[in-house]
Amino acid sequence: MSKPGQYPEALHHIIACFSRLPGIGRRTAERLAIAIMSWPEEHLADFGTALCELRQRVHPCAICGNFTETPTCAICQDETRQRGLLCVVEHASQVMALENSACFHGLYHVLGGKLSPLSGKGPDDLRLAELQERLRQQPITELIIATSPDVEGEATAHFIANMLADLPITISRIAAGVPVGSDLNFADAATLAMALQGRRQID
Amino acid sequence: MNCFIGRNGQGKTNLLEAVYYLSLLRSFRTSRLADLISWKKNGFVLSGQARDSAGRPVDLAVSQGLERKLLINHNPVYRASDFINQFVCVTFIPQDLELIQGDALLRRRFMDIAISQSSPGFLRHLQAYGNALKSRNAMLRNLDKYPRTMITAYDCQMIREGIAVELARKEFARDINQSLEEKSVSLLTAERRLEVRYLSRLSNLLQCSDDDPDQLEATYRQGLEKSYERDCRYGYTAIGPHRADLSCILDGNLLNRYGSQGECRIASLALRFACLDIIRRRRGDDDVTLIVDDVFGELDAFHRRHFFAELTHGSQVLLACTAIPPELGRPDRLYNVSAGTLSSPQEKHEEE
Ligand SMILES: [Zn+2]
Repeated sequence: MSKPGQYPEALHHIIACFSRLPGIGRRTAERLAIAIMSWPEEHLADFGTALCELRQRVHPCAICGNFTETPTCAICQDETRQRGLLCVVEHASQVMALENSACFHGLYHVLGGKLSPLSGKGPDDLRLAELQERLRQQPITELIIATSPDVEGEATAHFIANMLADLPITISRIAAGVPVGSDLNFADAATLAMALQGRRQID
Repeated sequence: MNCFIGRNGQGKTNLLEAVYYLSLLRSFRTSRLADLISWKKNGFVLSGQARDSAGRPVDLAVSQGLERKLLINHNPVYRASDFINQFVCVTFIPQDLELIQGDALLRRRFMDIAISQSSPGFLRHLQAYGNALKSRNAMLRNLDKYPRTMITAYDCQMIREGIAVELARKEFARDINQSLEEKSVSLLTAERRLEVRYLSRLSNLLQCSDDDPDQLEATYRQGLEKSYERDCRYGYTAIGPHRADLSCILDGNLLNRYGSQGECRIASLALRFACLDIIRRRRGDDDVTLIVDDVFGELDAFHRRHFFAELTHGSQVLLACTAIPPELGRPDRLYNVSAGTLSSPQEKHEEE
């Protein structure tokens, strides 16, 4: 039973679900939910199944942390990539951004965030041990750290550079081509290419 | 010169506050959002038209409900730093007395607002510093989770941003003194000498590093190193621009300790004028909106005359008072404010 002036329970539930998404306010959530109401049955079923299966099918790549449906991702399996060059990013979505720019041909390592005491993230919450393990086992000679250009991203880059200071690898930071405060997800291909070319070594 | 006349409690200050809010997204009266919202309301909407330095109109709008929305010329803007300072305001308000007599926090805020109004890059450094500091303190309070190496990594950011903030504030203090001296703001009679001094342990430390960036960083790092154990004990960073103060000195004496109420009032006005001078010079633009809320009530006729003479030097002035003081002369436009509404303006008639 729903009270007058309120959506029926099931619709209300869907609105609440949409509201949890980033950048979606109450009003937009309502619009989305009502739009879905008018979908044909098979589209709804398709959407539902896709949501249910999402986490069963897509998981992090065992090597780099990128999204994949196979044990390791297509990039890690690709024999034509430069295996000595590793780009460290915060999120798997940033791998997509860099891949779409087609300016990087090495391998990736996804940290799963950045060091951020204000959100309770310390070194153990990122895939840093995995990174060290990779550097021990694989013939990597150069590391590019592409964390975001804000305080947390810079601190994370510094932390990684210090952590790996004893290893015989070149460590550089993606250049300032990426506008301050923005992140890789929203940078265009030309900007990314410039940022990658203009990388600077971390002291 | 626009004059708003009305009895107390009729909404004059609210009007000035609204203009200020469109410029800086903050109030000069309160830092609590709830204080800005009418009783039993959920938010407010504010809009206005300013002119940019080329004289083009800029439409500004803020709506504050559950979240804040900002519009410039009807286009959404997502960061406060992109919205503020479309036009620049300098205030002369009763609370300015606190600049001299109140907490150091108010003087740091005074410096930071004035610098961000005159130097576009400053706000970013200030915000980044604040973020690095908060992060560092959070780590100091949870040393089981955060290793020293992570604190060190944050220190690098804090040092870089801290130096930028510190140098900008020192330069600002220098400029204030230069302005006070050169313009010898006529509010202060010639034989009185007002100056400010930027006080900070960090600046004392950095003094010996003669502005070589690497040297500055190294000295700052040593300072943090030295107080690290103490910082851990207190869960708080002891050194940095967040601990600074700006002391005001009249004829060699600390004003907050030895100044009379009248001297403090005049000094606070003189600081605002110096600030205005700096903002104009750095922006290369005289167009600053002056917000004046009944600060001249306690001045004598001599100081009042000089205050109005300084005010009318080429800016848009929004002045609120209960009655027009004789020293002001006739304002260009006069509005009556009553029960939150504004009368239509009475224009000044050219008599000569
Ligand atoms: Zn992979």
